[in-house]
Amino acid sequence: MRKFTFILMALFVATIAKAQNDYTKSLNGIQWVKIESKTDIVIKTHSSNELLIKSGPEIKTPERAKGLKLVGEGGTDNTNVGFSVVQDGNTLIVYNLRKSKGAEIHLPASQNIAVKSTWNGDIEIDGFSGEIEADAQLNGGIKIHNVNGPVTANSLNGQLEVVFGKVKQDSPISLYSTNGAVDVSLPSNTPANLALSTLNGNVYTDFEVKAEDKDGLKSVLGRNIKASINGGGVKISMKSTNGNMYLRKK
Amino acid sequence: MEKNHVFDQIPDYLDGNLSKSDRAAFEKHVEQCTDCQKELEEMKTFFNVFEEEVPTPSNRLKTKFEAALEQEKNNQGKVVQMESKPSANWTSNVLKIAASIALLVAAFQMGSLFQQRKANEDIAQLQDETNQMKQTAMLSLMENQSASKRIQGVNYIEEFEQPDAAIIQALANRLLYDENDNVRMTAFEALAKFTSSETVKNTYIEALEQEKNPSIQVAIIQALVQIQEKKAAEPMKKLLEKEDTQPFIKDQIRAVLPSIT
Amino acid sequence: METLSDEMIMQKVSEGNLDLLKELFDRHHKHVYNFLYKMSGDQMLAEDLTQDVFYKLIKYRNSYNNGVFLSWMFTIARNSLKTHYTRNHKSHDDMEVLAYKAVEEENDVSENNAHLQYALSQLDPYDRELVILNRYKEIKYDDLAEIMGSTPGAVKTRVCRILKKLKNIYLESI
Repeated sequence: MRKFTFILMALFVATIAKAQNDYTKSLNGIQWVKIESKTDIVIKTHSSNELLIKSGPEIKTPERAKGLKLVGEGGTDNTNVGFSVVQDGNTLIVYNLRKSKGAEIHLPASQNIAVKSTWNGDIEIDGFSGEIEADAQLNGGIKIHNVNGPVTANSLNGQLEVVFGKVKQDSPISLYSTNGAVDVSLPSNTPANLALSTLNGNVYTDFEVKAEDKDGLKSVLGRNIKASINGGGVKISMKSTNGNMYLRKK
Repeated sequence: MEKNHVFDQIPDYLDGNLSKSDRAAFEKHVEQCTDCQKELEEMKTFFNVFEEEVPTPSNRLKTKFEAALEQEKNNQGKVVQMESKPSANWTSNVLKIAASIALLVAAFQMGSLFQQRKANEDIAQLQDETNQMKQTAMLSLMENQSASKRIQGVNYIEEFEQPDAAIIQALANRLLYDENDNVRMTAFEALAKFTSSETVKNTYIEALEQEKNPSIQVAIIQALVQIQEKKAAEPMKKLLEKEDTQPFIKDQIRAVLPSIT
Repeated sequence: METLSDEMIMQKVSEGNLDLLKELFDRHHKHVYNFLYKMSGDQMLAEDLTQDVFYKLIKYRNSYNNGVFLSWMFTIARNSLKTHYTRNHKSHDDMEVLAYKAVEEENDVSENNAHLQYALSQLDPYDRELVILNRYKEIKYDDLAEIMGSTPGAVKTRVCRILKKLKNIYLESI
């Protein structure tokens, strides 16, 4: 038993050495990865079925903190890269404990992801085919590129930008912002039922939604627009209370 | 070729069970084989006889069956409806939903068949069950781990003209307690059609007291003003006093407050 | 899917919606009657036993296990027939010894039918049953194998052979 533990330790150390202090964790049995951060967070795809957190530039640990662990709201640094990673049932909860540095996280493309930014952090997500939930609760913006949906995203003050590849039809898409612009690009042949609404902003689109021209895109009068494109399909709901809305053909 | 008789395939041929290629080969053979032609003709005649209607059972059969059915229904007492509680395991929920939806689709398609029959009570019954199934599907979707699926569940409200209390309550719970802003907003919109309900009014007022998302706050304020809900004045005043309330919400409240007080 | 399948309806019945049994009755009581009539050659008996089959569907609805409905229904029909003969024929409890009554005396039976009944009577009971069930196109070889406790391949070969035999008996008799 002791020998086994020793081998395990050796392997562990070897892994760390090989990955140059990046943190990895297997995603076997994980349905959702929930990420929470106060700072910028970039999420990219990679080909292995594991969570990888890039260590990023060296963080200076204060001299006094030697031998101590970083502790934050979300828990204790159990990764040595300033994150707390805890499994809860089929969900993996990933907290960025640092308050200043951004982070880069890699996940397999089919992973379901929920990301929350609680302060100024921007959220960037690129290339995923699973479900995506993104919530920028204060000043952060959200950029989600090359995804297939379903996407559920909400921002308060930052802008919300989503560029879709082929849009999955099985579950609704919901993109809301209070003060930011909502800017969405769809392949022009996407079948969808659109619901666009804004209280104080305007809606611009080059999809066939009745409107008058304005700088190439059309400004749609009326603030609750419902329209089917390409024969109707998955429900896509976009709303900005005070910002403008841009819906583009890709 | 002559030797390769196709006797064994004759029944399948007549029943239309042969694949396209087998069928072509079969016909090619029969064309040039008198034995098989004869056999085919004979079998065809025989099949026709077999399919000839035998004497039909008397009406007595149906009458007695229906009497027996009625009796059994009385013994059974009230029809027990299935009511499934959303289970903790959401994969099983998904299966349940899939099953419900399959049944739903089937039940809709069945509608037209039944109209031709004089089974009006069955239609009524089926309608009930369809609603029941929709409701079950809706309620379990709303418990899903995925926000998109919860939104899908909330959107299901469009299927109901007169949703019962359980559905309204479930939507109210989404508005009050869902952790996802988009789900709460969608639940708000779903409830907006039913503002004549006391439950909905009270839910809106309660939501206004605790909601943090300004978009939802302003939407609720507008809805409450539209129905001239006097009880909305208190939570609005509180929002005015709060520091972290967004300026445009405060403006909105100042603009509408006089109209309901 | 054009209409709701038998299986779905029976599923609803087993969940308590008894009224839907009417639909199944409308769809299938003639098949059951036909089967029982061809097996027994006795109209009155066929009618009584058909009645019995549907009583059993009502009574045993909870034991329906989501299998192929026709298989289940015909299994019940076979058992009813078996039970009937067991009761009325003293010591025999096997389909193999199912006595067969010719039906020439039934005056509303067409001549063709009489010949068919005669031809059927020349088969042994297992073969007779197999071939009668096979003539309902809704029953696939897989289901037939399930009802008869055999394999689809064996059932298919056998049905082919019996049909040929039966046809020859029939044609000789007219």
